[in-house]
Amino acid sequence: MDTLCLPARIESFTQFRDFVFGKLSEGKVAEASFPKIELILEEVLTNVFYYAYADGQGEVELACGLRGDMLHLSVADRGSPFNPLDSPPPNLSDDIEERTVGGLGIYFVREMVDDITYERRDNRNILTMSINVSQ
Amino acid sequence: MDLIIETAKKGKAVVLTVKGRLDAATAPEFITICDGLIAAGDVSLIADLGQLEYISSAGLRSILATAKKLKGLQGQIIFCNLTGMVKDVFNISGFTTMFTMHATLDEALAGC
Repeated sequence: MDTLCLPARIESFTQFRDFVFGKLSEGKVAEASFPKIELILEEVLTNVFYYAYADGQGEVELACGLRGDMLHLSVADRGSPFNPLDSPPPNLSDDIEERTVGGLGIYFVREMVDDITYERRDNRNILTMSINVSQ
Repeated sequence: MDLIIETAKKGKAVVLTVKGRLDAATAPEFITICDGLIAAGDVSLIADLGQLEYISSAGLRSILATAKKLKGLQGQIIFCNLTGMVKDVFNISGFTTMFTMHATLDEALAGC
């Protein structure tokens, strides 16, 4: 796994995306899976950018590896403990007035990854995901 | 390409041709443009997403915020031409059933 560590802010996103896309270009990856991978990255990373550090100062480390058809991603921060897998299910009401979009990002991630785990270790939040990129 | 939005008045409706990406970085632009239309009295919007390549939950949030404002003014926003991952994201999030969707812009205009 290669790693990239950058300040936890929205301006870092393009570099994280290019880092992962660079990794994907080394393997046989279906074109259609690029937007899906970008969506997973954006949802997971923006959560860290906006919520991990109360004072807005901190770093996020992304580890990325491609093994066969599986892309492995691991996102780690030193912010307050937060397990996104504990988030309540999103509000999927059909009524525009009642509808909210909180929790939708992590819901997309759960729908699109093949495997996802969270651990709190050494004062770090570590979210690890595996995604099949053959389709 | 980031986000490009072209607007054109068609009868009572305004067609927004949305191109590129609607994500955490560009969603505020979408809100600003829709707020401008609403302030000018345009409350019947058709968003043609045929050239939108990418949308995230931040993009959906900006659409929902606009839809809520329009609803309060007896207006609406409807959608046409969804393709690829944009269509998938609308489906997963239930936006396809919450909003009026059309396959083509002509159909959307006829339904307005």
